[in-house]
Amino acid sequence: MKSKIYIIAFTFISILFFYSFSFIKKSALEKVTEHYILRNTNFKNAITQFNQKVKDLPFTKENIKIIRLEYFKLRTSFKKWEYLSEFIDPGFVKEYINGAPLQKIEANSFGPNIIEPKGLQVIDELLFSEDVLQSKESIILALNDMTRVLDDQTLLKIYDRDVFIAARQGLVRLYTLGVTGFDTPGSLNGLVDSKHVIEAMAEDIPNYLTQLKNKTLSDSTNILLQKTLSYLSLHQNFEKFDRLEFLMNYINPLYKNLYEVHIQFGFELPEEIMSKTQPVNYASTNMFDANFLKTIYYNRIPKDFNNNQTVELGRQLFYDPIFSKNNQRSCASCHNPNKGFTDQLPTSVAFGEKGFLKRNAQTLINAIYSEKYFHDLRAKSFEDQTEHVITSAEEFNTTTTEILEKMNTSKTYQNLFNKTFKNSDSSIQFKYIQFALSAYVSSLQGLNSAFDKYVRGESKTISKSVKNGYNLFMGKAACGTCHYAPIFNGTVPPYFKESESEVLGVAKNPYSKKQTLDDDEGRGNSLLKERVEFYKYSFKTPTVRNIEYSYPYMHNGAYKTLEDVMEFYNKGGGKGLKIDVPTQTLGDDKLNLSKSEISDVILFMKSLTDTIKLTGKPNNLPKFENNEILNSRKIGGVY
Amino acid sequence: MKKKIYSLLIAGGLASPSVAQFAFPVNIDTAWSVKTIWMPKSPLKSQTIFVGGQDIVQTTATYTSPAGSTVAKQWHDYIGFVKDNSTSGDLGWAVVNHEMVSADPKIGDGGGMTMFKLKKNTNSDTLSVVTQTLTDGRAGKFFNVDFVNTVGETGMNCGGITTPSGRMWTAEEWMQTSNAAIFSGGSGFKDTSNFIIGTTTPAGFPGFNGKSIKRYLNLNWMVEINPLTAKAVRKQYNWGRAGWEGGVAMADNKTVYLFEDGAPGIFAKFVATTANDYTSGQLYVYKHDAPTFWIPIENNFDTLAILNKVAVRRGASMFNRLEWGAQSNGKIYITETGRDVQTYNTGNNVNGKISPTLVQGYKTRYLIKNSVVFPGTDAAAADSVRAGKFFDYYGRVNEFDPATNIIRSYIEGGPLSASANSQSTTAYPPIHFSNPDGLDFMTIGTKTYMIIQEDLNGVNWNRMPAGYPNTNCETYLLDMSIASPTYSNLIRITACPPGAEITGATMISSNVMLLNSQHPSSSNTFPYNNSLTYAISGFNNMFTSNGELIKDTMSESFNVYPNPTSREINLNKEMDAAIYNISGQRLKVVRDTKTINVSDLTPGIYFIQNTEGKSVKFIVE
Repeated sequence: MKSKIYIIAFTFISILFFYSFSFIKKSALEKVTEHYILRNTNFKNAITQFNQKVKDLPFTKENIKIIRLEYFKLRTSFKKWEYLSEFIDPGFVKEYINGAPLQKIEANSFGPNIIEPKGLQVIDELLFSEDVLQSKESIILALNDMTRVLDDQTLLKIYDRDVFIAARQGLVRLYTLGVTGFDTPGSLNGLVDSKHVIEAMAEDIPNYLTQLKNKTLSDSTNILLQKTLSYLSLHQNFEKFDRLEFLMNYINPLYKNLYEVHIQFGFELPEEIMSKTQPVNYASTNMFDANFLKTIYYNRIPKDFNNNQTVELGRQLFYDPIFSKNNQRSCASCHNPNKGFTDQLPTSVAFGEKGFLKRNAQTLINAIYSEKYFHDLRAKSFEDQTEHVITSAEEFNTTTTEILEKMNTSKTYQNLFNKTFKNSDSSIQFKYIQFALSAYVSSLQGLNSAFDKYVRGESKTISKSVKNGYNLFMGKAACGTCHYAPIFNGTVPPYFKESESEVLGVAKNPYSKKQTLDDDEGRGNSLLKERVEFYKYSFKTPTVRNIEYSYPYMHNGAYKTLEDVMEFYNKGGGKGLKIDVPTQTLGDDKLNLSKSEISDVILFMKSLTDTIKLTGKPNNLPKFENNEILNSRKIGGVY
Repeated sequence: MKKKIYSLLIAGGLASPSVAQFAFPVNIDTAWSVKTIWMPKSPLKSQTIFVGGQDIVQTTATYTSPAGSTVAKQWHDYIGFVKDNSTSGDLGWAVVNHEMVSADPKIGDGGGMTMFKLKKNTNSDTLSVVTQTLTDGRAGKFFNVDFVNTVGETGMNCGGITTPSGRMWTAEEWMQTSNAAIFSGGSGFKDTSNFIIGTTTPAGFPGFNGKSIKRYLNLNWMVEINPLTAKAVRKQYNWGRAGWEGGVAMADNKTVYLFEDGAPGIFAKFVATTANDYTSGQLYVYKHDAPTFWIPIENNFDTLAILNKVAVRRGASMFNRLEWGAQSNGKIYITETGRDVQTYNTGNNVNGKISPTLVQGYKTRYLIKNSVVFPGTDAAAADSVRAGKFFDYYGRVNEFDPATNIIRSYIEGGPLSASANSQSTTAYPPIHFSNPDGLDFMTIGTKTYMIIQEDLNGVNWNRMPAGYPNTNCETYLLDMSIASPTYSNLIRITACPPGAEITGATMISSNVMLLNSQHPSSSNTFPYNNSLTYAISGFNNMFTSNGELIKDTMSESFNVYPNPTSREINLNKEMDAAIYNISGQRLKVVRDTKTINVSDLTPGIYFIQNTEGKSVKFIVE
């Protein structure tokens, strides 16, 4: 491999970085395009060959070995194909090639049409399951379309910028979905896979590096690619793989270098080719930078109002009990800033103190980084969720019209809104309330924890236990395959556009002798369009950041300590505990974590705590000129 | 800085474009440009009329709630419009379908509709919503259409029909199959008791009154509403229960065509016995290979309630998700939106057995595309399905001729076709037409244009260019005088919010189009994240008086010219280009294109540079 790169380096001589004489010699892009086409052909051939083996060979113990060997060859060609092709058509890869091995609902359809999973992840699971000898037909079915769709696919032209955008996206994918074992649920082949992804990059990127004026950058990038490859060659033990070291010494530096190379060439940036804001901040050079994701992608606030003034108005609204029918409850009632924006109760106190709500209050810190909101994912935006809380009889027990009528009797409030939203219509409108609350929650970013600072190199030390805990979290304990880095929630990398929910089989009472499934059907009993069997008992994957404060745990708040939660996962969730769970999406195998391993994972999760500068309360609430009773309302509410 | 540009020029001039890709400098010296072009304000003006989830609707006494007001439901789809021919001076009544399904103690559970009356400013095309007092005493600007107290709730409201004489039906495509599903844990329908036909006002339906049916069976019928009173009139039980998406009513006031959004989806016809009385007549489903083309369906409630199944059994033609229809020049045009999923796994098991509906679907498609009946056996049709030939992610607009009962494809989606071998790469096409949904016509001068609105089923199969993971649905105009049109004849109107489904486009006056931006699932900012009804006016500036599209004149020395309507800058050939702001910072780079979308640029001075290093100043007004 190395020799090849040197040859390229010496054959490519150019005067200007953007221009090559190559009427004879090929440009970097032409080389990469050739690779792109060749990898497509290789991948198609590998599928055909694998398909043939599966069809021809009877599924015996001996033959399975041969079939698996053929499968690994297929994976090699797939992983070399992946980084460019998935960037070009991500929907295609998700639908036919490498989507999660779970049923889903057909998008934009005429009825709740269930799509059966297909593609490599399904095959991976089958080929390494205990029932492999009986899985011939299922594998053929999962393979059915792959060659055909690849034949039907038009290969779109790629451009210089695409190579860099795709490679950086590929690094995030490799780190979050590859080395964690996410996309190899059966074979756990993630480390070998990762090597092949980097190999493809190491075939492509050096074609550019030879033309780079900045030799230091060119050399260090070349060396990094080679070092990453050799690191992956030397470290292939899934359980022992040091994912923290790999992140800090290889992935993040490469992620940074590729950005710098992109900039040096002056190739157009993502924001110059599309007018819409994307979740990932391309200019961020570390996956654990506080600005790695852009909150302005997740909220729906117009550009002109996405500012501090709106945040401050939102802070006042957050603490104002005017939102509840009895003027005694505010957002802070259940999302108490002093308790990590939760209430630390199993489920929150209901309106009128008449019992409790159905579900546990989630932390609001880093909550904005989601596609959908609530435990059952029923709200499509943060702005939408406000109305649910307002109109719920158990929460604020009022209506948006009633709130507006109340608020519009305050000149002070009206002036505040007019000033913030430069509004000529002097009355307060509901959309402005939504913007302000959303701006405030968007400002609740806690991404400067001890762990973040260590990864970014801002602090030099962190305990051995935390390091070990992180490696377990991202590896053996399989936490990171649902709680994705760097937010450690269910927003799926590398696009960070989709929120996931999972069926865990959470017990109604984990402390009872005979545990039974909690009867809350979650997502499967919420939106009409999602009422399907496999969403029953499915709940949103929350962030584990600030988990130190957000006890008790799970959607029903039934688990008192993190040790109890870890024990639940360690035994394989509900199914592992012999609870009857119809469609558990969590693997029901035991994790075999020791006591000290569990303790390390918990210590790691606690190292993600960051509430600094987020808990500031307003000193007073806006006055009502003609209503003394309202003026005596308590900041943050009574209960 | 200047020096760099000169060297760049030389280099650019030498480079063979097929070999080196041009890297535009991040900054340029803006003093360098001499030519100036102007991007005038768009002749099209848009105005937001009605925002779901924000505007307040007046409600009737519903369930236990007294009459009052509340926030409108979301997800706007069809817009019905009835002209006010009185002397009021108002334009007419608009009714917007809400496709959102939610429990609401004031509006009613399930879907919903909102009515409002529009007035046009005499001196401009600006619209205003008129304050009205309805016959039931409700007063305000927006009114909830009462289904609960009249005919029972709807599941959701998507497409619809407005007759030339101003009668209106709403459709509910999302097929319901059980009471448990519509109860939806309390978030859908609170009341799942049996529904008794004929116990509500106005009295039910001749022949079916007194019949007690399961609540979910009262959904998925076409429902007639009275837009003036904002009340439903009746569920049209005799038209059958199916995943109806839309329809077309003929001027004879007897014939109605109905389209089902399903896969398989059916095409049906109802002919009334007496003009203007749609409560009695004959229902048919279309079968392209039957001598009479239409299979009669008996007027029996149990048969009507499972119309799709009955039609499948009787060998009706099977379509791949029919959506909306509209008529022009005596022909009916129907969008068939297409579907990604069906081809490969649905109905196609390991042993290679293909479901009969797919066989019939393939044969229907064969006729539509080739204008001849599939010559082979059913087994041969099944083989074609198995070989992936039914794959249909593009969709099409079909044309049905009521005089001959023949249906054919009028315009196919395109253009990226399956390549036999992937030995080369293709640049992204300037027009990529897929998944047509909303449909209407407009006439300017002597010319008629079809208005086609996309609703993308996904972003895969290159429906979006590389790196654009969000859908971007477009609205196209098609000149109906073009014989055998293809996607390349489409004119794009980009004056629509990005990211959302554009639907419901309807001309409410010669120069004003009303349209909906519905359930934008992507991350638009307000108001484009809400379902939104808005108006576009100024079409008279886009066309000559006899309806010809005004061609832009090309600026002489530099082959760049603006298109103020679509907010695009046109280039004389496909090329790479970059846009810079007044300080010379690069803002945008386009590759292999003839158009640059500048709709996101705020008014000001910009520079555009092509691959030859030439730059031109342009001013956005």
